[in-house]
Amino acid sequence: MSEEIKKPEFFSIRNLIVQYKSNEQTVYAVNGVSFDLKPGETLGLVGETGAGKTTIAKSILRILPEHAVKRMDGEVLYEGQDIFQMNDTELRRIRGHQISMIFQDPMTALNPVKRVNDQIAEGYIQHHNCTKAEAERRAEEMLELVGISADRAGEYPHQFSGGMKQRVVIAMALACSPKLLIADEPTTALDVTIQAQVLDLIKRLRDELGTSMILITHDLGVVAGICDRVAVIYAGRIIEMGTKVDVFTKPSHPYTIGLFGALPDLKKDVERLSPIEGLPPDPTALPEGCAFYPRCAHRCDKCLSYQYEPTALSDTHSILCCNPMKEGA
Amino acid sequence: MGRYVLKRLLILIPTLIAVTIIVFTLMNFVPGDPVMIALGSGTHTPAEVEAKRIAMGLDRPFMVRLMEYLKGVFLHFNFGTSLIDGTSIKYQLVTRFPNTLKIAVYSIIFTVVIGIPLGVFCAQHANSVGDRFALIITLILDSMPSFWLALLLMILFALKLHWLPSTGSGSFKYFILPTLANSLGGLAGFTRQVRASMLEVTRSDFVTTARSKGISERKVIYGHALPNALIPILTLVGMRFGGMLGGATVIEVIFSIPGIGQLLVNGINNRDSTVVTGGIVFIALTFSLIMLVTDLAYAVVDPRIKAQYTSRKKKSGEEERHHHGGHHHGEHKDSHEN
Repeated sequence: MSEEIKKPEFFSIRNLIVQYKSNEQTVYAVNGVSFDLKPGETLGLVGETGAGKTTIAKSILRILPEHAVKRMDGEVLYEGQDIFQMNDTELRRIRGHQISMIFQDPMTALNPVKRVNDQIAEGYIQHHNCTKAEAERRAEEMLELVGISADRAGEYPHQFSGGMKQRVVIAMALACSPKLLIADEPTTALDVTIQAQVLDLIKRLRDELGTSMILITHDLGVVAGICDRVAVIYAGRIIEMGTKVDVFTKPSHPYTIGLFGALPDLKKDVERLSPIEGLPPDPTALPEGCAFYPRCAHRCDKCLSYQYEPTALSDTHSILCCNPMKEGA
Repeated sequence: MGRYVLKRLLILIPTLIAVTIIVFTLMNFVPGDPVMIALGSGTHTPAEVEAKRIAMGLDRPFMVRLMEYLKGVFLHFNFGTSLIDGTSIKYQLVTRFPNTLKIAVYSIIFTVVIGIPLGVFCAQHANSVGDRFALIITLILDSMPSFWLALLLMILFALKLHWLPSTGSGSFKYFILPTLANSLGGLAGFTRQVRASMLEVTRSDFVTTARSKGISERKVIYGHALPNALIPILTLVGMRFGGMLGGATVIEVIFSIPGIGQLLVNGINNRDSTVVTGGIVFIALTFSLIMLVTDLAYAVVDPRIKAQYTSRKKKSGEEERHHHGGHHHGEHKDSHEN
C-alpha cells in the first residue's frame, strides 16, 4: 500500500460530514467518513437502515435534496479533484460519465412518461458529441447487454416488470462506461429470484467493463458475493473496515460481531438467532462517546468519552472501538 | 384509442339527454306563464291568451312537449325560438358562441403562459423572496372580485389612458381587458397548483436519476419534471376552460360582449324560459366535449393512461405472442401496472 501514496488516489473520501435539517432539529447523518478506492476495486458499504449509507452515496454525486441539507463538508476526491469544489459544469462532466449510480427503487427511478431508450440515450448524448441516432443505437446496445431485447427500446417504464426496470436502470448507469459505479441497494426492491439475476448481471458487467464499484447493501451475503473490501457503517461512521476476508473471518467491532450473530448459519445448530438488542441511535441526538455504547455487549466506561480514534488491526483492517473484543468472540 | 373516443362520445348522448330532460322539466315549473311573457305587456282577452297558448303548442301534455323538444335538439339541433322576440335560439347560440370562445381561449392561453412558468419558478425557488412576492401578488389579484377588477381595468386602460376600448366586441383589442379581468383572479390558484405539483415531482426519485446523468438543470426541470407535473394540471385547465365556455357571465355583461353568458343572463331577466333551457343544454354539450378532450390530452402526456385506453386490443395481441413463445428472459410484460 505504501508505495502508492504519492500518486493521487483513484477515488477517496476524506472526513465526509452530512447533516440534514428536519423541522428545528439537526440530523447527524454522516459524521466523518473516509475511505479510498483503487481502480477496479469493489467496496461494500454495509449497515442498518438509517446508518447513512445512501447519504454517503448521494453526496458523492452531490445529488442530495438541497432543501434538506444543512451542512455538507469534507472532500470527495476523484482522480485528485475535489468534487465538492467543482462548479456545475465540471460536476456535470463527472455525473453519469465518470461516476454513475444505480438507484434503490427501480419503480420510481425511471421517468414514467419517457421512453426507456430516450432515458438511456440522454446521458450518452450529453457526454459524447453524437447524434441522436447514435445515442439510440448505444441505448439499444446497452439494453441487449443487460438482457432486454432491443425491440422493446421504444417502450415506457410501466411496460416493464420490476426486475426489467432495474436492468434498464443498470443500462442507464453503464451507458457512458463510467469508471466508478455506485450501486445503492440495487436489489432491495426486487424479489429474491430476481435479486440473484440482477446481482450476477452487475457482477458480470463490472468485470467486463473493469469498473470500480461502491456497493451499498444491508445484506452481508451480497457483500460476500461481490465485494473486495467491506466498510461497516453505524450511525454515520465506518466502524469497521477491512478486506472481505478480514471482516468475515475476524470481525472485531462488537457491532460487526453482532451482525454476524444475527445471521443464520447452516453449519451450526442454534435454537435462536441472537439479534443485536436495542435500536440504532436517534440521529438527531447522538450520544456522547461511542454511538454504539447503549447496545454494546462489550462496553466499558472508556467508551463514554471515546473520541473515535481508529485502531488498526492490520495493514488492511481497522475499527473504531476503544474496547475491542479479543479474537474469536 | 379510436374505440375509446367512440365509447366516450356514445356515453355523451344519454348524459346530454338527461341534462336536457332535467332542465326542461325545471324550467316548466318556474313561475311565470310563458304565454303571458310571449304576449308581452298590455291587456289581453282570455280568448287571445288561449289562442296564443294553442299556437305555441303549450296546451299539449308535458310529456309530448318534452319529447318534441328532445327530438328538436338532438335530431335537428333546434332549440326553439325566444319567447320575447321570436328569434331562433340556435341562431343566437351560433352567433354568440365565437365571442365566448374567444374570451375562453385567450383566458386559458394567458393563464397557462403566465401560470406555468411562474409556478415552475416558485417551485424552483420555494420559500425565497421571489416565491413569496409572487404569492402575495397573485393572492391580491385573487382576492379582487372579477367585476371590480374589470371596472378598475376599464378605468385605467380605457378612460384614463385611452389605450383600449372599454366595451363591445370586434377586433382582438376588444378582448384584451375582458381576458385580463377573466383570468387574473384565477392565476393565483393556478400558479399555486403548478408550484405544488412541481415541488412534489422535483423531489421524486426519477428527477434525482436524471440529475445523476449529468444533464443540465434546465433539461432536468423542463424535460423530466415538468411533463410529469403537468398531468394533474391538465384537469385543472380542462375544467377551467369548460367553465369559461359556458360564458364568463359577469365579464360579458360588464364589457357588453354578446356571448353565451350574456344571452343566459338576459334570458333569466326576461323570464325567457326557452332561451335559458337552450343555453344550459348548449353549455352542457360544450363542457362535456371539453372534458373528453381533456381526458384524451392525458393520454398524449401520460403513456400509462394511453395504455389503459388501448389495453384491450393490445392485451389479446400480447397473449398471442406468449403462446408463440416470442418472449424473452422469462419476465412478464405488464401493461397495467396501475
